[in-house]
Amino acid sequence: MAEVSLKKKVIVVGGGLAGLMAVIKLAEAGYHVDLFSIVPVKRSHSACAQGGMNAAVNTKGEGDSPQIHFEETLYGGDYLANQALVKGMCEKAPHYIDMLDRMGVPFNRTPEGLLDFRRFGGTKFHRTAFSGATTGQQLLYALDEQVRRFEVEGKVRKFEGWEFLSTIMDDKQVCRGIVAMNLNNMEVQAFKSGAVILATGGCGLIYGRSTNSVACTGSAAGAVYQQGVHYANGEFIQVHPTAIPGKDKNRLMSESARGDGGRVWTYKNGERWYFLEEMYPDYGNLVPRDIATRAIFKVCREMNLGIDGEDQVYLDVSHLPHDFLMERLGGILHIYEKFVGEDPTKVPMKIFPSVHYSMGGIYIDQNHMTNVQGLLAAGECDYQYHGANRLGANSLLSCFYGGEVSAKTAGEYLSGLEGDVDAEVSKLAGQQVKKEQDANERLLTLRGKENPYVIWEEMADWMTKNVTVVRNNKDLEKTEQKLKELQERYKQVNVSDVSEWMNQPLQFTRQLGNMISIAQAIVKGALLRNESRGSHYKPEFPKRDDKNFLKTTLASYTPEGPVITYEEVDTSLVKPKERKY
Amino acid sequence: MNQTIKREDIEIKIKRQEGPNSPARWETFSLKYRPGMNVISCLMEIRKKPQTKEGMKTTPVCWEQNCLEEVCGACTMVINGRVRQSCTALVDKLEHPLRIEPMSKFPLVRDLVVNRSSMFESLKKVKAWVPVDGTYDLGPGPRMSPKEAQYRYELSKCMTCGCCLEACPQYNPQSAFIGPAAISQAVLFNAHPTGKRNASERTRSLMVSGGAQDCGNAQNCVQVCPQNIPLTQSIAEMNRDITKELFGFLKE
Amino acid sequence: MSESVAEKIDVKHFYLRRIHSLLGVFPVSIFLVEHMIANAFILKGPEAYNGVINLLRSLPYLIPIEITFIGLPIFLHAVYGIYICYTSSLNLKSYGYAKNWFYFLQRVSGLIALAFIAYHIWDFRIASEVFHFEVNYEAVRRSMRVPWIFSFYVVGLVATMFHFANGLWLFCITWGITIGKKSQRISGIIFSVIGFALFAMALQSIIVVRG
Repeated sequence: MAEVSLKKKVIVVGGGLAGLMAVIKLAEAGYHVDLFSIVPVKRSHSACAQGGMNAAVNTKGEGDSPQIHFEETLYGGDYLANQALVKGMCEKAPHYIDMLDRMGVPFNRTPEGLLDFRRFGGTKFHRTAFSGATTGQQLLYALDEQVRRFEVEGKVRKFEGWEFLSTIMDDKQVCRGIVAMNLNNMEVQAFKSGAVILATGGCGLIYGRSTNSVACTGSAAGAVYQQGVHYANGEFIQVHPTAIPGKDKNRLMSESARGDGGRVWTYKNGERWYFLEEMYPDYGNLVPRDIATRAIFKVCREMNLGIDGEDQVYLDVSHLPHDFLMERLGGILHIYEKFVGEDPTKVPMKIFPSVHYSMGGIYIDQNHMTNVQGLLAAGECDYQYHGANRLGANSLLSCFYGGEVSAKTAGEYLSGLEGDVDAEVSKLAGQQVKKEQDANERLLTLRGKENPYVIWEEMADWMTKNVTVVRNNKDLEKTEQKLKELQERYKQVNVSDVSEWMNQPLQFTRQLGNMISIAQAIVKGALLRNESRGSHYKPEFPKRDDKNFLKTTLASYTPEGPVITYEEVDTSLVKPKERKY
Repeated sequence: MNQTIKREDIEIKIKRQEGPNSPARWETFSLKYRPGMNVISCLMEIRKKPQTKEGMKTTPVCWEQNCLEEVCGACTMVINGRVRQSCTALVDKLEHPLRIEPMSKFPLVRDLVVNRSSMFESLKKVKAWVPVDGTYDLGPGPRMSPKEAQYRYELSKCMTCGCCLEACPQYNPQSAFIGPAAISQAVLFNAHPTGKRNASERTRSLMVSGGAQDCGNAQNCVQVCPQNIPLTQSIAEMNRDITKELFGFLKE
Repeated sequence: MSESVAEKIDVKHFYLRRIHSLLGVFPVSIFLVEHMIANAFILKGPEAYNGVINLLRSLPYLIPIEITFIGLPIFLHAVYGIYICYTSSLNLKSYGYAKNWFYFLQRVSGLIALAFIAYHIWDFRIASEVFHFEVNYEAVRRSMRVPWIFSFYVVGLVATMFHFANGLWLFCITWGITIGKKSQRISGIIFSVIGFALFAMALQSIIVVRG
């Protein structure tokens, strides 16, 4: 495979659903793929998705259709999403369910043996296919299995335990491959290819404890951002309303708990108060995530009605039949029991909102190409599909569609490449490798006072406090200053391990630098967006402002901090209307 | 939270090893107790201030982790002598001082990190996939009863975490035994209406040295599996498939 | 080329393991049951017992039958069993589950049973041929009255019967007869009862024969 022309070769970074989907589509189309992942791909964060994947199949006679799914996705996202891609995604959704069904995903079934669908937030239709309480895991495994098959056939090479460091770019800002680090022997190597697809997931670790996996640092996005790729809509961070707070991370309590009849309540005047049902009679417990999150925040922080006076409310499924619970929600309820030690079929669960998903991400066009030619992005690390707020069970879907579209675009791009690409890349690759080796060397020889994990924790505390559910310009400005300070202190970091063998602190310190740069883009975007839209809520500007802000935020990197510009949103298909639940 | 025992400090002994060829040593750490801690949060605490109980500076401990929700399979370790996922190892429920070691059945990489790539290779050996024609628009998959789907779901939860292999006395350097995880995956795909069509290939891949017949039925696998996969049932199921395959040979 | 050779050895190993399992039941276990029943004639007195022995010894083609259906199967079962022991390891300290103990005991009992059977065959079959004495009720009584031989027999019988009963339970799993938890539990009960019964029979015989 060493002799494959770069015109037939694509690198995919990230082995979650989006990455694997891209790999499969590329391999099927006859391209050679090198797949890079920090963790063995079977351990990717996609495994954490619990509830399911949306596809408007209308198997329950409710009159659902891809068009309605499309409109609800836009509506749920407060119209910040570019519409053409969202439409394509919703139309393709039933096809992906079929494809996964054929791959052997053990979806839950109806008595007739057809696929079953459940209700999720932001819709009144049964639109969500699911596989127990670990749908993401099951979908990930299905793709992992197919990719393993391609691997055996020699069409795909896997590089597991490798971290993406940067892209190889020529002087015309065209991407020609990547530089990656072997996490065992810390060796830095160049890998050349005609195109690169980043499918590196979200950036929840910027917030320290989130529902994200440990690998979700956003480091790859930060690295390419610093190489000139735009970062879009960074300020839109979804805070999931129901998570179990933890010391190492917050664990998701899936929306499916509410979809299958779970109720959220707290005590008011000594009586149970089902505040979501009272505030939003139409959708009740199934309002979209941003709305539920703000309601819980209000109840706990403004009204001081949290359980035991703390930041927590009840999510209650204990009124539902035991067998039904075990079959539909067994997995997630088991999680609660495992990590809290109480049986949720008997006592209500204590939950609080947690950072969960980044709607924003690497800027891509309608074909998933970034502003750097040859570099594409798909999955949570891109920004396209969810606007200002993501609907539950749409993230898995956007991975499949994003993976497919980016694979298609990569193929078209490669066939359009001219000249002897292979020859000119070698020199560039060597330079980039040297640059990254020097960066490692610099960090290893620094003998500063700062522990990278402590810097990280400080950043996480500030971000969680000021850049999540409720945002004030004054606090955002302070956070901006704080990030600058952390950036300076980062230059005095002490990696505390000089080993050249599996140096995890070095790996993390590199990620941390990139995380700070993305955090800055998030904060700057939030600061300048003087309106409230979807997950971005500013009490100073409580209304949506379509005139000034029906726009995509574009952050460009400069050493002095992000520069923000705006781009019009494509609203050609559905006219924005007020979002009210 | 009522059952939480009040503790001042907790003591953790960790088996350290710089690399595959370096000598192993034990280091003891002392941490402030906080309610709700798990082993992972202890390790995270240590890396913020990598210092032993005796006050000696040391390096942060290396370990593998990702989801911390027991669905990714990364953070398997031997805790107090028993293999398990460290994310669900709650400090309140463990005997103290904590003893943390890497798994012993896989090549050591560093500290608590081992190389489990052999498990993924085994999945290739048993062809653990449904051989679909492609990802094109080819209509829905075969129908399946809820019961069949549920059965497959239970097997399909395998995270390739390695607990079953670590606890299996038949999985060791003298033996070629492939271990329960891969056998169960073969059964999973043999049970799929499409996968069934090449069941014979999967079954034969386990009729070799180290195949299903090498299971010694100590049945530890089923006891330690964090996903409660009925592994011993899968092995017996595969044994039946093999017996059938065997009589198939006789027909020829 | 070399790969296909390796494959052949691979597959052979599979057959060896299955043959090992099969031999354990047929003929070894069947012979064991037959042997215990024959021994039980001890209970009917010296004449009855000697009669059965004489009948068995008068069978045509005795030596070929003994070698083909008893000696060789036990020998092969034992040789491969020792190899299985070699490929096993122990972790009872960490995982002290009942089935894990059985796994260990199956191997230990196999080794003890092998020593026991070897001695037994020497004492009652080969030695009599070499030194030209007759094996009968009286000869068995003489042996059983020696305390260490008697003790060795008790230990040997415990090991043999455990190995037999647990082996049958394993056989059912190895051949895919019992698959689920429930069926394995039921077969476990059945084989325990058979094992205990056979052990009780054998024990009674060697106690009674001492007089």
